[in-house]
Amino acid sequence: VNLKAWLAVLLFAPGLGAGAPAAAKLALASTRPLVFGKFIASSGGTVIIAPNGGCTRGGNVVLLPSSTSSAGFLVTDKGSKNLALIVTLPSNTGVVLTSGANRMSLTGFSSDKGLTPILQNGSLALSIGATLNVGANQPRGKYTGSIPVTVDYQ
Amino acid sequence: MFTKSIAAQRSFKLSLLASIAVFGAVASAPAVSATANATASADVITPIAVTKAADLAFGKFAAGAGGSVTVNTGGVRSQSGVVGVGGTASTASFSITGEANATYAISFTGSSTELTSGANKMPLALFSDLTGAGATSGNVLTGQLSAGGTQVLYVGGTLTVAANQAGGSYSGTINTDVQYN
Repeated sequence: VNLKAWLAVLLFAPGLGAGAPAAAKLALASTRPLVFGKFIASSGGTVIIAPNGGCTRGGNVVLLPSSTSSAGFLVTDKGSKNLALIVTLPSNTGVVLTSGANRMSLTGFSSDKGLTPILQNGSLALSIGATLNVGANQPRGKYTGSIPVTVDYQ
Repeated sequence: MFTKSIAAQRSFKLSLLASIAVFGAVASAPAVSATANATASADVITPIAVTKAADLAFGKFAAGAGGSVTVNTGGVRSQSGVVGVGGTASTASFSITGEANATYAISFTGSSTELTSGANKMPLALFSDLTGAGATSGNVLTGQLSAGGTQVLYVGGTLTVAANQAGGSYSGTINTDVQYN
């Protein structure tokens, strides 16, 4: 009798699970790097990449002709419909670009789909922008860093 | 027999409860999440700068019946018509510094098109190159800095001298503007 009971529950469990998000299939992949391009620091300022990829400057930074892009991510799940997500972007502290010992901080992260988008039909593309804070006479160099983004089901 | 059966039923209920408890634990576990990292990059570039290293000088001459004096980009002077040419001739040169191997645009906007001495004037035509190879016409409009981030721009000119051009010390300005492109 015990064995039958366990078997019934085991068979039953996947059925109950059908109403929940498709567990363990939620995936997030980086599809495009965040590129601030080339600029001269001068007395400092900001370089802003909007989620749509537009590049603008603030302060005394001088932008130079170069290609730029917002960060791209792709959220996928196995064909589930209308699942509400929570997108967690980096906070305004902690994410920096570095070139040797030199650093520039990233703030003001934003997503073109907001922070609580709906995942429809199994995939959702996110574009992420941010503001790069450039110091006065920021030393020349190629600065790189990493932007962690997390998605959860609500 | 009867006693055994009750025991079996109790056991079944317990196992069912246990199973529900397990399932409940699964259902209330944290929602699944996924994390990914995008790379980010920025290139901070050395500002481009230009400084004068030498002035353009045509030296001394007498107008005579009029003519012209040319100093090529290699610093060599030639003339026609004018007489008594002397003094030191030199090509203007500009030192350009910036990011290694960067390309840039050159503009001479705002440069003098004539030299003046009070109210007297002589038309001036400028030409340039990046080699000092003796050009006598044309302007270089783009350059590329060396691996060390430097380049020299040479500017020569041709001065048109009128017959009986009034004596005096004539001067003008060469304005060189460089921008990354």
